[in-house]
Amino acid sequence: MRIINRFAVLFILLLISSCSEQGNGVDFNKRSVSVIIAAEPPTLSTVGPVSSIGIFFQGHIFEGLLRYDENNKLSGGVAEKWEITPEGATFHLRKNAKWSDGRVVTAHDFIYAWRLGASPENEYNFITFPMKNASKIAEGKLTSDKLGVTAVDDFTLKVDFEAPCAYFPALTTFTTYMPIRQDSFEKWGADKYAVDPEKMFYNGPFVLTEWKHGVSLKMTKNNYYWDKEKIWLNEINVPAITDQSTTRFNMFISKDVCMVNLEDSNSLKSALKRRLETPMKSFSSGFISYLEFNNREGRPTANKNLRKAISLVINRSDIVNKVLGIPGYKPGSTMFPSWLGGYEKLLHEEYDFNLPLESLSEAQKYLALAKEELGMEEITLTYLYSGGPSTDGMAVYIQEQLMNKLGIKVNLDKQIFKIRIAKSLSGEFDFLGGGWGPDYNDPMTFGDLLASWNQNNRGKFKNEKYDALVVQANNSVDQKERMDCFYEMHKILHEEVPVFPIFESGGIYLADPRLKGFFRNIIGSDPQLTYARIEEDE
Amino acid sequence: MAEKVLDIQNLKVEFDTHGGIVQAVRGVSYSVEKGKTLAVVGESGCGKSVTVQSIMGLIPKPPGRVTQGKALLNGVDLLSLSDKESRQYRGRDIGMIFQDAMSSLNPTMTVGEQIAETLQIHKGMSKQDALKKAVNLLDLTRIPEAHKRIKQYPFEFSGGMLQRAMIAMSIACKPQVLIADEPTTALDVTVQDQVLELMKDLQREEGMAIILITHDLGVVAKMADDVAVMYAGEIVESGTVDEVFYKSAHPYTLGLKSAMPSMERNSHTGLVSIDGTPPDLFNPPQGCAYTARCPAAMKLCRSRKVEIFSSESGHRSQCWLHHKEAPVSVTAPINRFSGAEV
Amino acid sequence: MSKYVFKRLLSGFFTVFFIATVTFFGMHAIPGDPLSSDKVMSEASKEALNKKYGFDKPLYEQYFIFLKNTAQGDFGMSFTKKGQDVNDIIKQGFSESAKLGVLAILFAAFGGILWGALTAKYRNKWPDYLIMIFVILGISVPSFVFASFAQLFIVFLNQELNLVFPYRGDGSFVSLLVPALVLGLGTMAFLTRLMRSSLLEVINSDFVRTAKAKGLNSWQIFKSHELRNSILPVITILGPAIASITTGSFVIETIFTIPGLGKQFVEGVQQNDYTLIMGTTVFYGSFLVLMVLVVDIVYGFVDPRIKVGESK
Repeated sequence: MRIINRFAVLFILLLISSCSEQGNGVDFNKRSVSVIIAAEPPTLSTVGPVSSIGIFFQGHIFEGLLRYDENNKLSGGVAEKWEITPEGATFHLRKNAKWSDGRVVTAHDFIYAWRLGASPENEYNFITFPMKNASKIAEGKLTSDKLGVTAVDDFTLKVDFEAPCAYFPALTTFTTYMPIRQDSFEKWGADKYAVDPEKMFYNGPFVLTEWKHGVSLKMTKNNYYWDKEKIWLNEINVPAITDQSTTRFNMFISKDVCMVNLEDSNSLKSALKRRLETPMKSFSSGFISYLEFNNREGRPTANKNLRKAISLVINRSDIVNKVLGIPGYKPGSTMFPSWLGGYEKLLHEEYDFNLPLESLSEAQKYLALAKEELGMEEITLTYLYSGGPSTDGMAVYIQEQLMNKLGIKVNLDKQIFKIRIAKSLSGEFDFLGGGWGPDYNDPMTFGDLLASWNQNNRGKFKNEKYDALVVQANNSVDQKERMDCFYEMHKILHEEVPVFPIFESGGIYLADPRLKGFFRNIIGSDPQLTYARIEEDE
Repeated sequence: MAEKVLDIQNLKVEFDTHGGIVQAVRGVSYSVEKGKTLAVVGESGCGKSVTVQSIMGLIPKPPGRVTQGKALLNGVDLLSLSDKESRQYRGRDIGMIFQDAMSSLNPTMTVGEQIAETLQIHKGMSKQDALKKAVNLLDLTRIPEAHKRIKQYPFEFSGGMLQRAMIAMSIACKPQVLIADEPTTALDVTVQDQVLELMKDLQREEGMAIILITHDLGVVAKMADDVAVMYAGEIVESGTVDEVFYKSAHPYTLGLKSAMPSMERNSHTGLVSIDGTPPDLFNPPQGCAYTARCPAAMKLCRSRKVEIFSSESGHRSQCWLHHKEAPVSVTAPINRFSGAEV
Repeated sequence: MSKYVFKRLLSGFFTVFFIATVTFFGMHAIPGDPLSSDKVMSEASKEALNKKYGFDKPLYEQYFIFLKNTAQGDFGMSFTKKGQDVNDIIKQGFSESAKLGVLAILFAAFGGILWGALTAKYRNKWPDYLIMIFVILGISVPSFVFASFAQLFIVFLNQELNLVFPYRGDGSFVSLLVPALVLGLGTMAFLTRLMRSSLLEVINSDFVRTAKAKGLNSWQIFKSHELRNSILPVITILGPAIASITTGSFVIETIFTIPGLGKQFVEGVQQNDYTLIMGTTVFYGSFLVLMVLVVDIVYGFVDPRIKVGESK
């Protein structure tokens, strides 16, 4: 008994000693905030594999030529001013932009990074293609020193375009366009560069000061940052890494993080049940989800009438509202999601993307036509998809709709993500559940997806008119003309149905009401905390 | 008359089973005197083991329970004690050895440890001292190389050796009573003899009383001073070994005797088995339990509970034939008492 | 004995070798590779990267390279966790998982023995029924349900009572208690059932009757006679259980944010991280083989009738 008592005392002591301070989500005195991430970034190298979680960090610790300012407007970063013409662009770098060891950021740091970015070994090298020779370098036909970028002097960077690129200034905020310190990169080598805090230099508002792999990360204010007066925060903590939405929600409830996405209906329900005082806000992830049909020869889905018939029996709002029920998702009628900017306002405000669909009764007509053309009595299709329970629900919904309304049998082929990608590339499907996220802030990031030469066009859709519109939009710097092209592309997709958009994904999130000045971004760091501040407790 | 070390009075034990209540022991009384051996005989299922197990607190409760009776150990009623109190007597004042020594010893503990355990709990000895004493005890039970043997496990012993070890264990605390529940049944005849000899010798040295439970009348003849014959949960006859053997007073005792192989009896007579089976103890008969199998049964036997008749010497028998009004013309050579009712 | 251990180690080596070979070829047989991602790489990029990582070599050659490196104790660098050696990932992950796992095993073993003993002692009475209900729950309900509930419960308590009990792994010992309890729950339930049936057999055995006749009290009987004789099946289960529990549970680790090996293993599989998959598989296989061997040796200590390494 005495032993048990001793254990009890020891246990209680341990409990007391282990208790950390409650609620580090926001800390006014330390000027620190904490956020939770779903996965560890594979690397923080801007020429390594690109990941959205990597971009979250890179957007805080590095700075490109341009940046998004405290109003989330495009403005000068390392570059003070810039000029753009159809042939190229010139950037004038500010002389007080410094690395975290005090060295000045020069044009050569950008050239070094961009040449790495264009090389065949960078899987994201297509993002450099607006620059002259970039695509040839990516194919290994030219060496990377032929890239169309030159340093006029240490502080002047001149870019030559392959074709006119109206969105190039915005592109320089993308992670591949961040500068790299040659000495550091060469010292550690491509694989080990930027995988630990001491294995890189920083030129952004923050520096990475701690990275316990698989456990936690920490960013602190960069005292060498040229615009540090505007930075109020001292610390951004990532205390844990988990993709369990319930755990993340619990961390927010315990005030250990300042923000949380409510990614499933359960956490939304429990948030509602708790009557949290925190208001719920919605954000868009920028992703569009769709069914993609296999247009390869010999596939029944290469038949346009069959695709039309299928598209008419699938109700997007039923999928979004009844099947998925994920807060923040909205039915999507186009491959150009509603958040995209147009020539002046939002694209969707300038054009009507909700073209009327034919009535359900037409579906039978198209099906009959398709069966005749294909010479098939019975049609059986394979639906390739990956994901969790919600995508299962969607798959079953599609299976049922096609069976009940059209008598088409659907075999479900569920795979893990990487295998789905591999199978979709080799064409082992009739239709698949796909999705696409933007790489840069221009409709072209979605528009050229279905160009016949695009490797990511997994259904091998080929339409000459569509291809021509992509080329036209690529070569123009007139934004009105370009937006017209995108709208024409939408009409073609609407008619031909190579893909059938289902929804734009997004979510509901909660943020500590004391946290101000942050942005939820579609492109770039999400959330962007650079200009965040905390209101003092009352 | 010598002092009674253990005196069991009118013990009744029942068991709850799915079929109902089994009255396993139905008013058993017997006693054993210091330095003497009492043999309890009877066929299997007659309740002879249950009797001793219940006074040792070994019957599982439930389903078993003692409904009546006393077991006086030097005047202390073991059955009225709490479990904690009665544990003091078990192993210290009453030792017990069982039929199958192999299964009755813990296979994962050395023999020495198992002997020492008794000494540790009752005498408060340290383990080392207890183990030293265990060597002496094994010597005493004539196990060669005792100091090696105590470090061995039961599976390394032969059957006879194990039974000796078992005896060593049970006499470790010099008990006043040693209960031996069919100690030799599982052994070879030669080994049987050696073990019985050992028990006799130890009894002589230590002066303890022995209750020997057996169904082997040969063993009884060799060992016992007194005998109690049990049938269907009752003692049907008791007395000295001579009285019970040579002046058998109960038809069941006679039956047992004729079922025993004997050198003296003519070979052509053969063995005589007792016809029938023991009565159903769920619902024991009102009268004498042996009626159904008894060659001398009378009407009265069936309906009236038998009284106990006792001779002046203390030879007791539970049979109506001893009643003064009983007919004399019985087939069996029943030894008639003078007729005193108890 | 040493000859026996050597023989077992040798057969264990072949087991692991077999597992590794099957995994290696199975892994390469499924579509996709560590380099495949959402957006397609150009042919040139793919070629360049394949060359860099040696995927352009014939499969058997890659296999021999893998064998050679593994023989030298080097599993290579992770594909998806840049710049990290698989050896380091395993070392770190295992140290976290083992901490949690040992605690979970302790919970499971002690709990299983305790509850099992109680159910056997109170057989067919209410403590038995009550515990057996929990046992059935523990066996049939998946651990992530318990994990979520446990976490939610702690968070709720913290809020209501203004406490700061850790609801997730923060590196402290205390924060491991609840995850370990949840992790060990299934095994605990299983052991309880096992212990109950095995103890019931022992309780009715002759030697327990002997122990009673010697005047031992029920604790002494349990401690020196019943426990040791009934624990053997428990130990049989404990070996594989130690191997599977200490090498981590993906679900528990993600819910409680513990950077363990289970998480690494599942992430490796999800991302086709060849080196990580092979490293964790070989490690797990070897560890399992070793634990089963250890259990067989421990048998001999618990039950002297079993002589390890001697043929009967």
